[in-house]
Amino acid sequence: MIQTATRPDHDTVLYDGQCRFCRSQIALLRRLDVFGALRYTSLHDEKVARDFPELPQERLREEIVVVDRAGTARGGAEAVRYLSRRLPLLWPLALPLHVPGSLPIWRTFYALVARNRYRIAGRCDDGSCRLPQATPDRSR
Amino acid sequence: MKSPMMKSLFLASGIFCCLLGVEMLVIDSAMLRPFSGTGETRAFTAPEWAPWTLLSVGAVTILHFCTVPGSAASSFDED
Repeated sequence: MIQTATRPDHDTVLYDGQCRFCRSQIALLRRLDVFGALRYTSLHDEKVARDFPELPQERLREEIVVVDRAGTARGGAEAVRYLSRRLPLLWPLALPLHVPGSLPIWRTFYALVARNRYRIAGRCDDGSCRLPQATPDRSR
Repeated sequence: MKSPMMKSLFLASGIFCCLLGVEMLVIDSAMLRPFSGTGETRAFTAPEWAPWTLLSVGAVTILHFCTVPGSAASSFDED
């Protein structure tokens, strides 16, 4: 865990916005976050480097990072475990994730998935994840 | 498992852990007073992960109780 100087208003999830797999997981997370407790920011957003200079870019590329309102940053399996506590719909997942001594197993599993995430769902280099550009107003 | 007492103990400790976990989930902090009635009252604030850990330990213990063959009641009948 890393302590950041910035204390966000909401728990902030930092993810790789150029990874299809990560984006699909964030979309799932948005659906599960029924109370709107989380904010989501891609690590490629310039706000991330400005607000969280303590977090190295290499780490952000390797794993999802959640910064809570106290400014504590958790990454990877610990972040998933934290999210399972924060989102009521994920509470069933919290039970196996909190079995004492099981964190190394979840870390290994997370690292395995994170290493192969581009292989699982591909990258967004072809621009397929980009939002459609606004069409110019032709009425004038 | 030979002793039905041991099996019952698993169930009891599992339920105890689950109840304690739920209780910790509901409260923010607890004030601990000494039995004697005199002395300092201490405030206890559980870490954020503690209720979930207790609940998962309780669930695992209850699951273990369920997987142990033979019921405690039938073992008592045999005696």
